[in-house]
Amino acid sequence: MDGKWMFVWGSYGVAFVAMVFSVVFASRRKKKLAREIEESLEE
Amino acid sequence: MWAWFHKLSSPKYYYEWAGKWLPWLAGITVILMVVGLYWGLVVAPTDYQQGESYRIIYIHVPSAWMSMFVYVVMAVAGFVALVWKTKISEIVVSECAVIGAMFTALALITGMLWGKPTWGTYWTWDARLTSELILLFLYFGVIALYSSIEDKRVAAKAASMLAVVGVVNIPIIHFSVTWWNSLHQPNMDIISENPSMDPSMLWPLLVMATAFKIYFVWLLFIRIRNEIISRERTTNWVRKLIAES
Repeated sequence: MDGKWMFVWGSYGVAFVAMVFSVVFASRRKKKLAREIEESLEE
Repeated sequence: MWAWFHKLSSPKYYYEWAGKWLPWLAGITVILMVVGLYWGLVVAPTDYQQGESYRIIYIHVPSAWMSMFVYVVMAVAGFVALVWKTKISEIVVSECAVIGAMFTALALITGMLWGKPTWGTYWTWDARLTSELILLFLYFGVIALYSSIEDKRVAAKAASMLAVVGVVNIPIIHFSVTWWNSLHQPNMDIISENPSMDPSMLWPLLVMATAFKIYFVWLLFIRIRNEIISRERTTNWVRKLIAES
């Protein structure tokens, strides 16, 4: 395995983190919104 | 057909319709990503000139293609928002801007990581790199404009205008390697009978490009549904939906 693999793994790592976290954050935002609306309904 | 498009512009109908697609889009994205990554990182042969670093192509090129594709989607949605003033198209503009900025940043970062072992430098003020950086700033502009105006209908109008005007940068990015002397490689020929890449390297790229497109639709649908809930939080159907869930 030559030293160039370091750049390959770096690229894939950055892309993986960005793409996975985008979906995770979007899903968490839905839960947060639902909680906010639920609280406003209870009030 | 037009009746269906008209129906799709209703936030409630769109929310339910997009929700049905989410598990399918998630499944197809994961399958295509796994196949594309295995094919690109393990099966595809090593490049005789660049060695292993060429494998960055399987993440860099789909990101770069998506950075331009998402902008065109955003500009079309912006045009629809300006002409027909539908809420869904306004939401598509704001959500595409965030996703497009992510793909553009990925294209730039992975390009830099590819540039170092290939060109000997992370960055050069080359026409392709600079026009792609301008694309990132255009996305930031749309996000900033949409976020800075409190009335979301007015914010969407301003953001849509910038999105439509900024589309002029897309052909500049695409043809930059033809119009100017560039360190960046020429545009790839993938549709003729003699593509510029060997099929053993091209097929995993096409799989990854398809995976990125499906991923975009998946993420866009999730974000659009969130924004619909946020905007329509005072309506009966959203309150009922939250109460039932």
